[in-house]
Amino acid sequence: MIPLSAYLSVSLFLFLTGLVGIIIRQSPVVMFMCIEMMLNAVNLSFVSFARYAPWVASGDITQTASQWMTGEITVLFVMAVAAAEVAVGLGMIMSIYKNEPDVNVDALSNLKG
Amino acid sequence: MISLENYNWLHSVIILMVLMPFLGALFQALYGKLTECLLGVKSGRWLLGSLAFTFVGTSFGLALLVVKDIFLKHPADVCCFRFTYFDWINLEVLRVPVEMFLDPLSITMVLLITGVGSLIHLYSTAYMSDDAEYSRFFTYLNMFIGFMLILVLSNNLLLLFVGWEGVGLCSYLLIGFWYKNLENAKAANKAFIVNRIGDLGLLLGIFSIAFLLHSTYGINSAGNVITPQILDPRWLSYDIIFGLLPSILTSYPDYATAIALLLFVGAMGKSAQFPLYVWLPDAMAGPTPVSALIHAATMVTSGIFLLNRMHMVFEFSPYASAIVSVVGAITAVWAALIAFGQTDIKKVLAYSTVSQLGYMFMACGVGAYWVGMFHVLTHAFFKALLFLGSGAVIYAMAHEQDMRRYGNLWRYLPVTGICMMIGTFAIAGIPLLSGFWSKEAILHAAFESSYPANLLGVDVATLVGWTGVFVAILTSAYMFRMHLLTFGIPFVNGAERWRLIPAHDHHHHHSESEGAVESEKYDFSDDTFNFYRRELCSHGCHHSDEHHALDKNHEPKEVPYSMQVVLVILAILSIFGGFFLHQHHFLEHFLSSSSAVSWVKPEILVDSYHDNHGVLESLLYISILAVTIGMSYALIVYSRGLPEKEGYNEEKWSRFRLFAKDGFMFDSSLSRIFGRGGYKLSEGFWYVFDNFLIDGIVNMFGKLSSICGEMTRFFQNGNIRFYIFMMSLAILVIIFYILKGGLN
Amino acid sequence: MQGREILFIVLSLVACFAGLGVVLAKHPIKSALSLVVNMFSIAFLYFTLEANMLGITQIMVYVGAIMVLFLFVVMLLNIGSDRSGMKILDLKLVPAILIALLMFSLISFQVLYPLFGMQYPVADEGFGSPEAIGKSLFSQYVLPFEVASVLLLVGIVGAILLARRKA
Repeated sequence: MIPLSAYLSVSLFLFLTGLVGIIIRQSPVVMFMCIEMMLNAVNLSFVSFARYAPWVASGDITQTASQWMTGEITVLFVMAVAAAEVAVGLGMIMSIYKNEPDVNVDALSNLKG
Repeated sequence: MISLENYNWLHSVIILMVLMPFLGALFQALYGKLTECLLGVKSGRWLLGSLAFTFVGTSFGLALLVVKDIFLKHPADVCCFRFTYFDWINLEVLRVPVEMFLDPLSITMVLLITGVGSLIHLYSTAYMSDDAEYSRFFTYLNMFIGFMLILVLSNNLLLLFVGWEGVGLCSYLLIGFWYKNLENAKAANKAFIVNRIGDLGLLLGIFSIAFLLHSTYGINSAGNVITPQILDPRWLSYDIIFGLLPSILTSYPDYATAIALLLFVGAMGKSAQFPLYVWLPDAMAGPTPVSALIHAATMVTSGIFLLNRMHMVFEFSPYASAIVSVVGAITAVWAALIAFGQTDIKKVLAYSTVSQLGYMFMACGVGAYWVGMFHVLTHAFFKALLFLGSGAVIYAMAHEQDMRRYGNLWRYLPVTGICMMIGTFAIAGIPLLSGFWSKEAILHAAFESSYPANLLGVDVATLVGWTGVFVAILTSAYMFRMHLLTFGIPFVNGAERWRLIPAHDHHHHHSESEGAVESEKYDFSDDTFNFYRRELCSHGCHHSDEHHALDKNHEPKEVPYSMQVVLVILAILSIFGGFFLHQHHFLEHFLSSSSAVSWVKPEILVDSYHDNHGVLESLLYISILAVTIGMSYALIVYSRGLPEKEGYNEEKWSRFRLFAKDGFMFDSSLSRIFGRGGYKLSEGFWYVFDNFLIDGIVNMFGKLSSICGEMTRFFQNGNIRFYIFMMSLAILVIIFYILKGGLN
Repeated sequence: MQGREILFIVLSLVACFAGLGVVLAKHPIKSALSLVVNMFSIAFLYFTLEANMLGITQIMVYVGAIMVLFLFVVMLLNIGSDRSGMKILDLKLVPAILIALLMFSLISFQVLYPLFGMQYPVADEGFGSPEAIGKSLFSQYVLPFEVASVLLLVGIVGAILLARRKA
């Protein structure tokens, strides 16, 4: 059987890759993609924790059937939120690009103190 | 103490005596204008004036009644009464009732205040009759008498302080009575502020007495424990203080000196002694009856009264007493010398008042307290007479106060002239007049003082005595100078001096005359309701129309009879008062028994030896000689009119006289030292403390936050990726914290 | 080594390389396509975790909707490769790698390492079936479900508003 830690490692790798991507890339679209990837990484860990329940081993918590579902439902909601986020975020990116075709996030610093 | 059983009425009489003037003040304040409206100005003022006089006169009558029924029926030393009315302050440890203390000293002061006060009220009814604010004047005047009675009759120091401040207030209000003239308002402020310095001393003195009584009521000198129950909570009352202080002061002589000096500072302020005298000459800005009543006869003597009341403290401290007499002597000489340079008739009298007050303090300082009071009484007679006389002269001379414009007034004002001459003789010390007796008593007391002969290596009492003789010479000289310049031969170039003023030369004259307000000085642009202009007109009319300006056509007229009567009564008192009080040592016996408690005098006072027998034997001749010297000097110099070197052209004045005219630069030096010096000092403080310390701290916080801002600004650089970086760093830290179990 | 494990290793390797591709590809189109691959492999990873419903949703929502939206935007705006001024390898890489390593070490030592060799229960077969998810979604999580629908509506309106706004 595939251990939980294997899934978590993949999740961690993808998350950190997305993080590094956000920091190093300057294109807003690519940064946005990295964010999506990070969300997916987190979703992966949610789902794996939903299937394997290491905290139950300690015997403190008895898991009811509906509680097993919590992780999966959370992922579902994350997807819903991500869909909405992407819709709005891409709309914003589009309007930014309309104003300034060669956009660079470093140039978007109108809010600096 | 005699039993009060038969004198129940006394209780009410005393409070009535105090309340009468206050009732008068209340009436004047509430119904003054109404009366004037209802009855018309002339008869309304007649009613108001007679009411004001009646209220004070009633007090005087009650005082006379008390004297007749109590003090003349019993020996003075048993006549000490304490009347309690109600509690003013009632705490567990301190009870301050409103109490009156009737003893020879206070009844003497009461007689003086109400007697001279009612005479001056009578005089004022005529003098102020043209003033726009007649009832306001009498409100203040009545209120003053009331506060003065509280001051002298109160049985505790706190109530005395109430009276003390009350008379200060009335003095302020009356000096600034014609407040529309800025100079008068300034003089009033000056008097008030300088008096505050003295009041602070008095207050500190009261506090020290309270502290001393309170801190020592664990033990007394005999080693007995005085429990709080035994210490009466009325420990600010005289009877408690006088009962407890002797034993405490014997064991703590330094406290005696400290308390005595603090009380003396208070007395210095009210009684215009050397460093604090500067307000009194300026106080002459008030109406002349005020100068006579407050700044010559009564209020300024409250310092002497305080010394008399608390003389026990002074007797326990020879050092303080020596300082009192030395300060008195310095004041006497100083003010007498300044008087030579004054041309304003009221200023001369003001400085002579300061000088005479110095005399009184000399007497008190050498231990002869009753002599101080004696001089207070005689001085009240003749100084009130002189001031009222000068008021009459000013009244007759269209409010001109410069003596250089007077002269030959004998011809026009014979009654005033004679009365003023009697006053001058009295103050100069011509034998058998009242001033002679009191001055003689002061010199006598100084030369035979029972105080230590050598204090700090100087024979203070004898020195003070000789100073007194010197001041006697000066006094007769400047008083005769004043009299001769006013009434004596007038001629300069064959004309009376005021006839040299060209007609309609209003400007010069107005700026000098009392209470004159020149409307052109003021900007009325803001005066929408015509408030000031109307009042000024009614006020200005008083000088320019009814009393036409002093010019070469002026014919002085004798003053109204109500003023003359007062002058004559005071002149009679000035002639016979001294003799009457002095015969058979009447006043000495009367006042020396004034304290309710007798105590053993400190040993240091009992036997000390002064080698002054020779002086004492010939003192009479010495003082007559002194008066004669002064008088002859004045006669020689001024008998032929105004000398050239004292004339209008001040460039011809001698250097001494110019210096004296400026009050020996004392006033200006004071303002330079304390005014400009204080300014510089506060500027320095401002520079050091405000600029560096306070502003530094404030600015430091400002700079600190802006530095912090500069530092954190680096983090808010608008670079999204940098934000993400920092955010992940923070997330890292949070994860670390959670994993380390930080949340549990 | 069983078929499941081989499948897992292959899928995870594909996911990781595709993830690296997203970050490292110069052209946004390449990044987007790599992300599609990445999401597909994650969807298959869900299948290996018995979460069939989620896997299908992943493919539908992410790959089918979101990524298509991304590709639309990239193509619509004609975004080219990062310009010469926008290097992929710049100094930002150093702190990025540093922070990634820090986080990696922290989590692997604190989370992953303790999980090795640990016995833990496994969910029942079919816990991620559409039936099970539907049951709990419409019973226990019905309120969040409705809120999510409102959120999506708001998102649609906002997107339209932003896209229509005159420049």
